[in-house]
Amino acid sequence: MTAEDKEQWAGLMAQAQDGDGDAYARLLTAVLPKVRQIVRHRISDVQFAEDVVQEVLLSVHANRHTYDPSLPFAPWLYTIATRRVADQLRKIYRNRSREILVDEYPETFTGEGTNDYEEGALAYATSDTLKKALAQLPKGQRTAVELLKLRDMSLKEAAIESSMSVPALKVAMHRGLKALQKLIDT
Amino acid sequence: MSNTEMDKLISALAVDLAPVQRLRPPAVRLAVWVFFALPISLLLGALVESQNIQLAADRLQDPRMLVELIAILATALSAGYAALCCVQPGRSRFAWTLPIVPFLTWLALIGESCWTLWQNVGGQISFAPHWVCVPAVISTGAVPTVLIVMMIRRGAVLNAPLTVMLTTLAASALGAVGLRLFHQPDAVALVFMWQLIATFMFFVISGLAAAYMQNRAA
Repeated sequence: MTAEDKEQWAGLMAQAQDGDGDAYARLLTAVLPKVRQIVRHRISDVQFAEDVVQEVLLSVHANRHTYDPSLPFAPWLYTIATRRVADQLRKIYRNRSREILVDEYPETFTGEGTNDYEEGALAYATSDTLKKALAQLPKGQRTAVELLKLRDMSLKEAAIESSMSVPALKVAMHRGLKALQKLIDT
Repeated sequence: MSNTEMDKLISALAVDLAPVQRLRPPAVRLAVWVFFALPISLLLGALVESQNIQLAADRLQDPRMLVELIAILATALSAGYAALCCVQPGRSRFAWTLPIVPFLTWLALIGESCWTLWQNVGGQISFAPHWVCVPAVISTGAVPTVLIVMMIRRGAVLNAPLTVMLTTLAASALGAVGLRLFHQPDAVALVFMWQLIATFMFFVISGLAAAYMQNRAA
Protein backbone atom coordinates (compact mmCIF):
# COMPACT_ATOMS: atom_id res chain seq x y z
CA MET A 1 0.00 0.00 0.00
CA THR A 2 1.69 3.19 -1.19
CA ALA A 3 1.07 6.79 -0.12
CA GLU A 4 -0.53 7.27 -3.53
CA ASP A 5 -2.97 4.42 -2.82
CA LYS A 6 -3.96 5.99 0.49
CA GLU A 7 -4.58 9.34 -1.15
CA GLN A 8 -6.61 7.67 -3.87
CA TRP A 9 -8.70 5.80 -1.27
CA ALA A 10 -9.50 9.07 0.52
CA GLY A 11 -10.64 10.61 -2.78
CA LEU A 12 -12.76 7.58 -3.71
CA MET A 13 -14.40 7.59 -0.28
CA ALA A 14 -15.23 11.27 -0.57
CA GLN A 15 -16.87 10.55 -3.95
CA ALA A 16 -18.70 7.57 -2.42
CA GLN A 17 -20.05 9.80 0.35
CA ASP A 18 -21.53 11.99 -2.38
CA GLY A 19 -23.34 8.95 -3.82
CA ASP A 20 -20.90 7.77 -6.53
CA GLY A 21 -21.49 3.99 -6.62
CA ASP A 22 -18.70 3.30 -9.14
CA ALA A 23 -16.11 5.05 -6.97
CA TYR A 24 -17.41 3.09 -3.99
CA ALA A 25 -17.12 -0.26 -5.79
CA ARG A 26 -13.56 0.63 -6.86
CA LEU A 27 -12.70 1.64 -3.30
CA LEU A 28 -14.07 -1.55 -1.71
CA THR A 29 -12.27 -3.68 -4.30
CA ALA A 30 -9.03 -1.77 -3.70
CA VAL A 31 -9.17 -2.02 0.12
CA LEU A 32 -10.22 -5.69 0.15
CA PRO A 33 -6.62 -7.07 0.22
CA LYS A 34 -5.74 -4.70 3.08
CA VAL A 35 -8.87 -5.74 5.04
CA ARG A 36 -8.04 -9.41 4.43
CA GLN A 37 -4.49 -8.79 5.67
CA ILE A 38 -5.74 -7.12 8.89
CA VAL A 39 -8.27 -9.88 9.55
CA ARG A 40 -6.00 -12.84 8.70
CA HIS A 41 -3.28 -11.41 10.92
CA ARG A 42 -5.59 -12.20 13.86
CA ILE A 43 -7.74 -15.08 12.57
CA SER A 44 -6.13 -18.16 11.08
CA ASP A 45 -9.31 -20.01 10.03
CA VAL A 46 -9.69 -18.94 6.39
CA GLN A 47 -13.45 -19.49 6.18
CA PHE A 48 -14.13 -17.63 9.42
CA ALA A 49 -11.72 -14.87 8.38
CA GLU A 50 -13.68 -14.38 5.14
CA ASP A 51 -16.92 -14.03 7.14
CA VAL A 52 -15.24 -11.36 9.27
CA VAL A 53 -13.94 -9.56 6.15
CA GLN A 54 -17.54 -9.44 5.01
CA GLU A 55 -18.57 -7.99 8.40
CA VAL A 56 -15.89 -5.33 8.05
CA LEU A 57 -17.15 -4.32 4.60
CA LEU A 58 -20.70 -4.07 5.96
CA SER A 59 -19.41 -1.90 8.84
CA VAL A 60 -17.53 0.33 6.42
CA HIS A 61 -20.77 0.71 4.47
CA ALA A 62 -22.90 1.45 7.54
CA ASN A 63 -20.42 3.98 8.92
CA ARG A 64 -19.22 5.67 5.73
CA HIS A 65 -20.71 8.99 6.87
CA THR A 66 -18.21 9.08 9.78
CA TYR A 67 -15.18 9.45 7.48
CA ASP A 68 -13.72 12.95 7.31
CA PRO A 69 -12.08 13.45 3.86
CA SER A 70 -9.57 15.89 5.37
CA LEU A 71 -8.05 13.00 7.36
CA PRO A 72 -6.13 9.93 6.09
CA PHE A 73 -8.35 7.01 5.09
CA ALA A 74 -6.15 4.13 6.34
CA PRO A 75 -6.54 4.79 10.13
CA TRP A 76 -10.33 5.05 9.67
CA LEU A 77 -10.42 1.68 7.88
CA TYR A 78 -7.95 0.11 10.33
CA THR A 79 -10.03 1.17 13.38
CA ILE A 80 -13.22 -0.31 11.94
CA ALA A 81 -11.49 -3.53 10.88
CA THR A 82 -9.71 -4.16 14.19
CA ARG A 83 -12.84 -3.42 16.24
CA ARG A 84 -14.95 -5.76 14.11
CA VAL A 85 -12.31 -8.51 14.42
CA ALA A 86 -12.28 -8.04 18.21
CA ASP A 87 -16.11 -8.20 18.30
CA GLN A 88 -16.18 -11.41 16.28
CA LEU A 89 -13.46 -13.06 18.36
CA ARG A 90 -15.27 -12.05 21.56
CA LYS A 91 -18.47 -13.61 20.17
CA ILE A 92 -16.63 -16.83 19.33
CA TYR A 93 -15.01 -17.09 22.78
CA ARG A 94 -18.36 -16.38 24.47
CA ASN A 95 -20.15 -19.06 22.42
CA ARG A 96 -17.36 -21.58 22.99
CA SER A 97 -17.54 -21.08 26.75
CA ARG A 98 -21.19 -22.12 26.63
CA GLU A 99 -20.79 -25.09 24.29
CA ILE A 100 -20.16 -28.70 25.29
CA LEU A 101 -18.84 -30.98 22.55
CA VAL A 102 -20.38 -34.46 22.53
CA ASP A 103 -19.61 -37.46 20.34
CA GLU A 104 -23.24 -38.48 20.07
CA TYR A 105 -26.42 -36.51 20.54
CA PRO A 106 -28.23 -37.63 23.68
CA GLU A 107 -31.47 -39.50 22.91
CA THR A 108 -34.44 -37.54 24.18
CA PHE A 109 -37.30 -39.89 23.32
CA THR A 110 -37.14 -43.39 21.97
CA GLY A 111 -39.42 -42.76 18.95
CA GLU A 112 -37.58 -42.62 15.61
CA GLY A 113 -39.14 -39.31 14.60
CA THR A 114 -37.66 -37.52 17.59
CA ASN A 115 -34.14 -38.74 16.86
CA ASP A 116 -33.82 -37.84 13.20
CA TYR A 117 -30.93 -35.39 13.53
CA GLU A 118 -30.17 -35.29 9.83
CA GLU A 119 -32.90 -32.83 9.03
CA GLY A 120 -32.25 -30.54 11.97
CA ALA A 121 -34.83 -29.01 14.27
CA LEU A 122 -37.56 -28.83 11.67
CA ALA A 123 -37.41 -32.58 11.11
CA TYR A 124 -39.88 -33.13 13.92
CA ALA A 125 -42.59 -32.36 11.44
CA THR A 126 -43.22 -34.47 8.37
CA SER A 127 -42.43 -32.66 5.11
CA ASP A 128 -46.14 -32.32 4.23
CA THR A 129 -46.94 -30.75 7.58
CA LEU A 130 -43.98 -28.46 7.24
CA LYS A 131 -44.92 -27.40 3.71
CA LYS A 132 -48.48 -26.62 4.80
CA ALA A 133 -47.29 -24.71 7.84
CA LEU A 134 -44.73 -22.75 5.78
CA ALA A 135 -47.39 -21.81 3.25
CA GLN A 136 -49.44 -20.22 6.03
CA LEU A 137 -46.63 -17.91 7.16
CA PRO A 138 -46.52 -14.25 6.05
CA LYS A 139 -44.20 -13.73 3.05
CA GLY A 140 -41.29 -12.15 5.01
CA GLN A 141 -41.26 -14.88 7.64
CA ARG A 142 -41.53 -17.64 5.03
CA THR A 143 -38.61 -16.18 3.06
CA ALA A 144 -36.48 -15.92 6.22
CA VAL A 145 -37.15 -19.54 7.25
CA GLU A 146 -36.60 -20.89 3.74
CA LEU A 147 -33.30 -19.06 3.20
CA LEU A 148 -31.80 -19.41 6.65
CA LYS A 149 -33.04 -22.85 7.74
CA LEU A 150 -33.91 -24.82 4.61
CA ARG A 151 -31.24 -23.42 2.27
CA ASP A 152 -28.77 -22.92 5.14
CA MET A 153 -27.64 -19.46 4.01
CA SER A 154 -25.75 -17.04 6.26
CA LEU A 155 -27.57 -13.88 7.34
CA LYS A 156 -25.59 -11.75 4.87
CA GLU A 157 -26.24 -14.06 1.95
CA ALA A 158 -29.93 -14.24 2.82
CA ALA A 159 -30.07 -10.45 3.12
CA ILE A 160 -28.69 -10.04 -0.40
CA GLU A 161 -30.93 -12.77 -1.84
CA SER A 162 -34.13 -11.46 -0.23
CA SER A 163 -33.36 -7.71 -0.28
CA MET A 164 -34.26 -7.65 3.43
CA SER A 165 -31.97 -6.12 6.05
CA VAL A 166 -30.11 -8.39 8.48
CA PRO A 167 -32.12 -7.15 11.52
CA ALA A 168 -35.36 -7.63 9.55
CA LEU A 169 -34.30 -11.18 8.69
CA LYS A 170 -33.48 -11.95 12.31
CA VAL A 171 -36.87 -10.68 13.49
CA ALA A 172 -38.73 -12.47 10.69
CA MET A 173 -36.81 -15.68 11.46
CA HIS A 174 -37.62 -15.49 15.15
CA ARG A 175 -41.30 -14.81 14.53
CA GLY A 176 -41.46 -17.36 11.72
CA LEU A 177 -40.08 -20.19 13.89
CA LYS A 178 -42.49 -19.32 16.68
CA ALA A 179 -45.43 -19.30 14.25
CA LEU A 180 -44.24 -22.59 12.68
CA GLN A 181 -44.05 -24.21 16.10
CA LYS A 182 -47.63 -23.15 16.83
CA LEU A 183 -48.92 -24.28 13.44
CA ILE A 184 -47.19 -27.69 13.71
CA ASP A 185 -48.36 -28.25 17.28
CA THR A 186 -52.03 -27.58 16.44
CA MET B 1 -16.64 -16.79 0.76
CA SER B 2 -15.13 -16.90 -2.73
CA ASN B 3 -13.90 -13.86 -4.62
CA THR B 4 -16.96 -14.02 -6.85
CA GLU B 5 -19.24 -13.89 -3.84
CA MET B 6 -17.22 -11.02 -2.37
CA ASP B 7 -17.55 -9.19 -5.71
CA LYS B 8 -21.31 -9.76 -5.53
CA LEU B 9 -21.38 -8.27 -2.03
CA ILE B 10 -19.39 -5.22 -3.18
CA SER B 11 -21.73 -4.76 -6.16
CA ALA B 12 -24.77 -5.07 -3.89
CA LEU B 13 -23.37 -2.42 -1.54
CA ALA B 14 -22.41 -0.04 -4.36
CA VAL B 15 -25.60 -0.25 -6.38
CA ASP B 16 -28.00 2.69 -5.88
CA LEU B 17 -25.59 4.17 -3.35
CA ALA B 18 -27.27 7.01 -1.49
CA PRO B 19 -25.26 10.14 -0.65
CA VAL B 20 -24.60 10.55 3.08
CA GLN B 21 -24.33 13.60 5.29
CA ARG B 22 -20.78 13.69 6.64
CA LEU B 23 -20.32 13.82 10.38
CA ARG B 24 -18.78 17.14 11.38
CA PRO B 25 -15.47 17.16 13.32
CA PRO B 26 -15.80 16.41 17.07
CA ALA B 27 -14.86 19.99 18.08
CA VAL B 28 -17.71 21.43 16.00
CA ARG B 29 -20.18 18.86 17.34
CA LEU B 30 -19.02 19.58 20.88
CA ALA B 31 -19.62 23.31 20.35
CA VAL B 32 -23.14 22.59 19.07
CA TRP B 33 -23.84 20.39 22.10
CA VAL B 34 -22.64 22.97 24.64
CA PHE B 35 -24.33 25.85 22.77
CA PHE B 36 -27.76 24.20 23.08
CA ALA B 37 -27.46 22.02 26.19
CA LEU B 38 -25.80 24.36 28.69
CA PRO B 39 -28.18 27.36 28.47
CA ILE B 40 -31.27 25.09 28.52
CA SER B 41 -29.86 23.12 31.47
CA LEU B 42 -29.14 26.35 33.38
CA LEU B 43 -32.56 27.77 32.55
CA LEU B 44 -34.39 24.63 33.70
CA GLY B 45 -32.23 24.47 36.84
CA ALA B 46 -33.11 28.10 37.62
CA LEU B 47 -36.82 27.42 37.05
CA VAL B 48 -36.93 24.32 39.26
CA GLU B 49 -34.80 25.92 41.99
CA SER B 50 -36.15 29.46 41.52
CA GLN B 51 -35.92 30.11 45.28
CA ASN B 52 -32.10 29.75 45.00
CA ILE B 53 -31.34 32.38 42.34
CA GLN B 54 -29.70 34.62 44.96
CA LEU B 55 -27.71 31.61 46.24
CA ALA B 56 -26.40 31.02 42.70
CA ALA B 57 -25.38 34.68 42.39
CA ASP B 58 -23.55 34.46 45.74
CA ARG B 59 -21.82 31.22 44.71
CA LEU B 60 -20.51 32.92 41.55
CA GLN B 61 -18.70 35.41 43.78
CA ASP B 62 -16.95 32.62 45.69
CA PRO B 63 -13.46 31.92 44.19
CA ARG B 64 -13.46 28.30 45.39
CA MET B 65 -16.83 27.70 43.78
CA LEU B 66 -15.56 29.26 40.55
CA VAL B 67 -12.61 26.85 40.51
CA GLU B 68 -15.02 23.95 41.04
CA LEU B 69 -17.33 25.16 38.26
CA ILE B 70 -14.37 25.49 35.90
CA ALA B 71 -13.24 21.92 36.77
CA ILE B 72 -16.78 20.62 36.17
CA LEU B 73 -17.08 22.46 32.85
CA ALA B 74 -13.60 21.29 31.77
CA THR B 75 -14.63 17.71 32.61
CA ALA B 76 -17.80 18.10 30.52
CA LEU B 77 -15.93 19.57 27.55
CA SER B 78 -13.03 17.11 27.57
CA ALA B 79 -15.23 14.04 28.17
CA GLY B 80 -17.70 15.24 25.51
CA TYR B 81 -14.88 15.77 23.00
CA ALA B 82 -13.41 12.35 23.80
CA ALA B 83 -16.83 10.66 23.47
CA LEU B 84 -17.43 12.32 20.10
CA CYS B 85 -13.90 11.28 18.95
CA CYS B 86 -14.70 7.71 20.02
CA VAL B 87 -17.54 7.45 17.50
CA GLN B 88 -15.47 8.78 14.59
CA PRO B 89 -13.00 6.05 13.56
CA GLY B 90 -9.51 7.25 12.73
CA ARG B 91 -9.45 10.01 15.36
CA SER B 92 -6.86 9.98 18.13
CA ARG B 93 -6.94 6.78 20.17
CA PHE B 94 -5.80 8.68 23.24
CA ALA B 95 -8.58 11.28 23.38
CA TRP B 96 -10.08 9.36 26.30
CA THR B 97 -7.19 10.57 28.49
CA LEU B 98 -8.28 14.22 28.15
CA PRO B 99 -10.89 14.23 30.95
CA ILE B 100 -8.59 12.54 33.50
CA VAL B 101 -7.03 15.71 34.96
CA PRO B 102 -10.20 17.87 35.13
CA PHE B 103 -12.21 14.93 36.48
CA LEU B 104 -9.64 14.19 39.19
CA THR B 105 -9.61 17.89 40.09
CA TRP B 106 -13.38 17.87 40.35
CA LEU B 107 -13.32 14.70 42.48
CA ALA B 108 -10.65 16.23 44.74
CA LEU B 109 -12.86 19.28 45.27
CA ILE B 110 -15.84 17.02 46.02
CA GLY B 111 -13.66 15.15 48.51
CA GLU B 112 -12.64 18.39 50.15
CA SER B 113 -16.30 19.54 50.37
CA CYS B 114 -17.32 16.21 51.88
CA TRP B 115 -14.50 16.39 54.41
CA THR B 116 -15.56 19.91 55.45
CA LEU B 117 -19.19 18.79 55.69
CA TRP B 118 -18.15 15.76 57.75
CA GLN B 119 -16.27 17.97 60.19
CA ASN B 120 -19.20 20.40 60.48
CA VAL B 121 -21.98 17.86 61.08
CA GLY B 122 -19.85 15.32 62.95
CA GLY B 123 -20.78 12.05 61.28
CA GLN B 124 -24.48 12.89 60.84
CA ILE B 125 -24.35 12.45 57.06
CA SER B 126 -27.21 10.35 55.68
CA PHE B 127 -26.66 8.12 52.64
CA ALA B 128 -30.38 7.40 52.20
CA PRO B 129 -31.91 8.36 48.80
CA HIS B 130 -32.52 12.11 48.75
CA TRP B 131 -35.67 12.29 46.63
CA VAL B 132 -35.76 16.04 47.04
CA CYS B 133 -32.71 16.23 44.76
CA VAL B 134 -34.35 14.29 41.91
CA PRO B 135 -36.22 17.23 40.24
CA ALA B 136 -33.02 19.31 40.21
CA VAL B 137 -30.96 16.41 38.83
CA ILE B 138 -33.48 15.70 36.08
CA SER B 139 -34.05 19.33 35.12
CA THR B 140 -30.33 20.09 34.75
CA GLY B 141 -29.22 16.70 33.40
CA ALA B 142 -31.98 15.70 30.97
CA VAL B 143 -31.23 18.03 28.05
CA PRO B 144 -27.41 17.51 28.01
CA THR B 145 -28.02 13.75 28.18
CA VAL B 146 -30.65 13.58 25.46
CA LEU B 147 -28.63 15.77 23.09
CA ILE B 148 -25.32 13.97 23.50
CA VAL B 149 -26.96 10.53 23.23
CA MET B 150 -28.53 11.65 19.93
CA MET B 151 -25.15 12.90 18.70
CA ILE B 152 -23.31 9.75 19.79
CA ARG B 153 -25.84 7.54 18.02
CA ARG B 154 -25.14 9.38 14.75
CA GLY B 155 -21.55 8.09 14.90
CA ALA B 156 -20.04 4.62 14.83
CA VAL B 157 -20.16 3.08 18.30
CA LEU B 158 -17.28 0.64 17.86
CA ASN B 159 -16.05 0.66 21.47
CA ALA B 160 -19.32 0.72 23.41
CA PRO B 161 -18.01 0.54 27.01
CA LEU B 162 -15.59 3.46 26.57
CA THR B 163 -18.16 5.49 24.63
CA VAL B 164 -20.85 4.95 27.28
CA MET B 165 -18.45 5.88 30.09
CA LEU B 166 -17.27 9.08 28.42
CA THR B 167 -20.79 10.07 27.37
CA THR B 168 -22.14 9.48 30.85
CA LEU B 169 -19.34 11.53 32.37
CA ALA B 170 -19.80 14.38 29.88
CA ALA B 171 -23.57 14.59 30.34
CA SER B 172 -23.29 14.30 34.13
CA ALA B 173 -20.67 17.03 34.28
CA LEU B 174 -22.57 19.47 32.06
CA GLY B 175 -25.71 18.88 34.12
CA ALA B 176 -23.67 19.32 37.30
CA VAL B 177 -22.81 22.91 36.34
CA GLY B 178 -26.43 24.00 36.84
CA LEU B 179 -26.91 21.64 39.76
CA ARG B 180 -23.88 23.01 41.59
CA LEU B 181 -25.07 26.57 41.05
CA PHE B 182 -28.74 26.30 41.96
CA HIS B 183 -29.14 23.28 44.23
CA GLN B 184 -29.21 24.16 47.93
CA PRO B 185 -27.85 21.01 49.70
CA ASP B 186 -24.06 20.95 49.68
CA ALA B 187 -23.55 17.17 49.86
CA VAL B 188 -21.90 17.25 46.46
CA ALA B 189 -20.78 13.61 46.44
CA LEU B 190 -24.39 12.44 46.87
CA VAL B 191 -25.65 14.88 44.29
CA PHE B 192 -22.93 13.76 41.87
CA MET B 193 -23.85 10.12 42.48
CA TRP B 194 -27.50 10.88 41.69
CA GLN B 195 -26.45 12.73 38.58
CA LEU B 196 -24.38 9.74 37.37
CA ILE B 197 -27.16 7.24 38.13
CA ALA B 198 -29.77 9.36 36.35
CA THR B 199 -27.59 9.83 33.27
CA PHE B 200 -26.60 6.17 33.09
CA MET B 201 -30.25 5.05 33.44
CA PHE B 202 -31.24 7.41 30.66
CA PHE B 203 -28.48 6.09 28.40
CA VAL B 204 -29.54 2.47 29.01
CA ILE B 205 -33.23 3.26 28.46
CA SER B 206 -32.51 5.16 25.24
CA GLY B 207 -30.35 2.25 24.00
CA LEU B 208 -33.13 -0.25 24.70
CA ALA B 209 -35.71 2.02 23.07
CA ALA B 210 -33.50 2.38 19.98
CA ALA B 211 -33.01 -1.40 19.74
CA TYR B 212 -36.77 -1.89 20.11
CA MET B 213 -37.55 0.68 17.42
CA GLN B 214 -34.97 -0.87 15.07
CA ASN B 215 -36.67 -4.26 15.47
CA ARG B 216 -40.09 -2.74 14.92
CA ALA B 217 -38.89 -1.01 11.76
CA ALA B 218 -37.39 -4.30 10.54
